[in-house]
Order: sequence, then structure tokens, then C-alpha cells
Amino acid sequence: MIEHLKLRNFTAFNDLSIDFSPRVNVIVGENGTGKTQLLKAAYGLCAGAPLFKNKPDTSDEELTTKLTDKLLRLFMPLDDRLGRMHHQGSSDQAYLHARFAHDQKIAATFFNNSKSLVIQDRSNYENYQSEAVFMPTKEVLSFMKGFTSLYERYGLSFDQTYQDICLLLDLPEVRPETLHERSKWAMDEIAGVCGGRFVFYGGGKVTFKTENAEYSANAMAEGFRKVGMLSRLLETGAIQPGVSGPLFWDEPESNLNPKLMKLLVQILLELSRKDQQVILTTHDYVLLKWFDMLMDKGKEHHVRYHVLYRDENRKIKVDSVEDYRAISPNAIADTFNDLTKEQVNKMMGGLGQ
Amino acid sequence: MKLRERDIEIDFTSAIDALVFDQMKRNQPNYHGIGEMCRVDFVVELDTAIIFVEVKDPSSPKARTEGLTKFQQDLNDGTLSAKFAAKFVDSFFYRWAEDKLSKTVHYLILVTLDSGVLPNLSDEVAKKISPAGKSCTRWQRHPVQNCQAFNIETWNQNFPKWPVTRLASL
Repeated sequence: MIEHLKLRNFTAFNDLSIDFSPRVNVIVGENGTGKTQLLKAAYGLCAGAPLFKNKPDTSDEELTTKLTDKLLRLFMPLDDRLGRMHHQGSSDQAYLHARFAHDQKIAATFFNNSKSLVIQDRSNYENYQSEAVFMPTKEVLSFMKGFTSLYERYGLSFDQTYQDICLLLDLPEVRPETLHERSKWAMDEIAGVCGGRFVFYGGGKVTFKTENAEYSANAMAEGFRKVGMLSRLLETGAIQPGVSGPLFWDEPESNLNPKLMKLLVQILLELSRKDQQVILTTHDYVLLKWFDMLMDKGKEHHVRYHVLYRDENRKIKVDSVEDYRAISPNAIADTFNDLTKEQVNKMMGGLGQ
Repeated sequence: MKLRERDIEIDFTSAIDALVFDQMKRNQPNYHGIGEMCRVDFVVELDTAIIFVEVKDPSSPKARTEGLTKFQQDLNDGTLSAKFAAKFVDSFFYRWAEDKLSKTVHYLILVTLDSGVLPNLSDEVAKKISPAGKSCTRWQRHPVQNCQAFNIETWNQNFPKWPVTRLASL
């Protein structure tokens, strides 16, 4: 679980600190306020976990290489240069810092001519072994066959979140007795709504199976493929409440029928209640509102909304609130207000003004 | 003139006339008298237009749980928009019979909901008032020029000349 993230002079951020809820975090903000960058930075700093899991005596050098490579592959800066991720116009070094549960920390710096990160602090970081999951904006079931090997061989214009998610989806299923009760519930709910289940044969081959027939995954609606990814990640244990690291999800609403959103929010709230941290970005009123509507403090739900905005000096700031109504500025609500104003102007001219 | 529906008060001082349209007390001016007809709360006459106003206040601090549950149910299953539409149609019919429909009519619904719900609710009500978005070449006039829902905040932003106040909060 990631508790705190600090970014200084990094990409779009001049100086930003954010405290995450251990349950659900919803990041909102207009385009260009760095929502995805924030998500990727936090995900990137979680990348040491698998390293120590597989090799407990990983050296500082290996960690540095891994984290540098991860950031480059996630952010894909111009010319693949780390220095390009340095905040433009800043003379101080870029600084990334994350604090996880049990006071595990990682902090790294770089300058605009650096080739590699410099680790400044890694207190207990070797104990951080919960692997994070990043769900990118696009669904991948329609193109994951062969994607991973192509990604390794060629310079595809996909950031590494796509490769990572394909690898996780292709893992084998966990043993039924290991499957968390809430994961099983969520998978059944998703299968109920989709009318069947996605079946993974390995190597990225995916089909969709109903009671009587089997179809190509590509024949299914994009929204089904998206929730199908969530179902599969639960099935493989990549998302396992209480065990896995944070689930980062960039705009879950894209390609999703608004009717599926209620179920998605129900599932995320339920998983979070069982100690699955969720950090997502959204532009969507319906998704945001479902969190507001379905959040039940009595059920130990907790949702924190983080609003990214640019201040009068164009610096990106964050305001974190616990209540949906306190979100300000709320670009999503403002859009609805603009629609209201536009209709009044178009249909009523200056009446009442 | 200030018109009041429970705790909500709208100041139509700049209007030519403003009346409580759904007046069902015999001893009051503008007694409506036909209980079978649906009724909007207010009718306001301006220089160039007539405004029908319906007020619904689910966010009232005095709202009771049963009432809110019913309201939510009505909102979800489309009954609320159907009721809003019926109120407009019957009130329009009534005003026609009074021979008081010589100007363009707007239907403004003041409903204390989140601003995100309002554009969709506006469209839903408009769709239930004939001609329901369809074009009818024989029609020479449109019964309603603008049918739109507002909350207190968006109402006040858009109609500063007709300020809305929640009296209980004063």
C-alpha cells in the first residue's frame, strides 16, 4: 500500500505531495493537470517489489537500473532520455519519493542531463514486496495475442503499462482455495453482466465463453473486455485483496457502458474494504457519482478524492477531500453548469439576466 | 413579487405579474379549482415571455426519509419527469382556457439535485412534452421554448434578476 507520494521538478509537477487513502482514491482534474503522470510515477516507484521478491539481495545498482528503466518505459520521454522528465524551467534536481505501509520508503533524484536515477533513500524498501497493477486506458484483450513478444523485440508506441498488464493477464489462475471470497464474488458478478466469461489459453489467446458457445474476444463489446480484464486479474491473483499492491487504473470509464459503471464501483469498493488499495483517475461524472452514492461508511468504505488543478502561476496543485461535494475546482460539474448556461443562452436569450 | 413554495422563495419583482398557479384555497386570489388537473407551482408573466415554474426540494433539511425514497424512485424510473411534463401540459391547457397564452412559454424546473443530473432530467421532461423533439410541419407554434431544470446554484447563476433563496437558511 502506498501512503504518500512526493514529486518535485518531475515532468509536469513543480512540487506536489499527496496522501493516499488505504482504500479508494479518485483523482480528478482537467486535461493537462498530470493525472496519468501521477499514476505512473506512483506505479513506477512500486516497481522494486518484484525485484526483491525474486532476488532478496538485489544491489543498489540493480535497483537503480530497474527503476530508471521502468520510468523510461512508462513515460517514454523524447529520445528515451531520463533528463527529459525533469520539470522544464527548474534548476533544482527532480525528486521522487514514495512511502509505503510499514514505513518502507524509496526516494530518487536526477538532473536534466542524468542518465540514471540516484537512490537517496530506500529504508525498508526491500521489504516492499506487494506487486502493483496498472490498468491502462485501453483494454488489451483484443490485441494481446503476441503483444508481449512484439513489445520486447520492437519499439512499439505503447508504454510499458500495456506490456505489464498483458503479462499479468497471461498468468495462470490461482488455486480455487487461494481465491479471495470477494474476488470470486466479483468474477461471478462480471460474468453475470457479460453473459459469460473470458477464457485465457496462454500466449495472449483469449476467447469468450457462454453456456453454449465460444466466441473470439474481439467479437465482444469493448466494455465487456475491460471488465473482463478486471475479472482475469482477480482470477490470476494479480489482484488479491490484502496481498497485492495498489491497483492503479487510468480512466476506467473509457469504452465502458455507463450501465457497467455501477457494478465496477461496487466491486472496487468491496475489494478496497478487504484491503485492496485502489487509485484511479477519471473524467466521468457517472463514475464519480456512483462512488459518492455507493460509499457506505458503515461498511468501512473510504473514498478520498484528489483534485489536480493549476493555480494562478500555472503550477499543478492537489487538493484532497473526503466528500464528493467538497471537490473544488470540479471540472466535471463545471461542464454540466456550462451546458446549463449554454441552453439558457440559446433558448432564452437574456431573460432573467 | 416574491413567490414561495415551502422553504424556497423566488423574487420575481422585475416581472409584470407572478402568481401562485396551484392555489387550491378558495379564499385566496387565483384559486385554481380543478383538483384533477396537474399544476405547476408558479406562472410568471414577463414583457416578452411567460414562465411556468415548478419547484421540488429533495435537499430540504426538512425532507423526510419516506418522501426522499419515493422521490429517488420516481427519479430513477422516469415517473418524476413524467409528472413534471404532465404539470406543464395541464397548466398550459388551463392557461389556454383562460386565454392567457399570448407569449412564448418557458418551463423552468427548480429541483435541488446535483448539477450533473440536471441536463439529463431537462431532456427527459422535454421528451415527454409533445411534440417530443419531433418536427410537425402543421404546427405554427411551439408550446414550450425552453424546458430546463436548475438547482438553486445554477438558477441564481443564470437568472440573477429572479434570485432564489432558501428561507430556512436565513
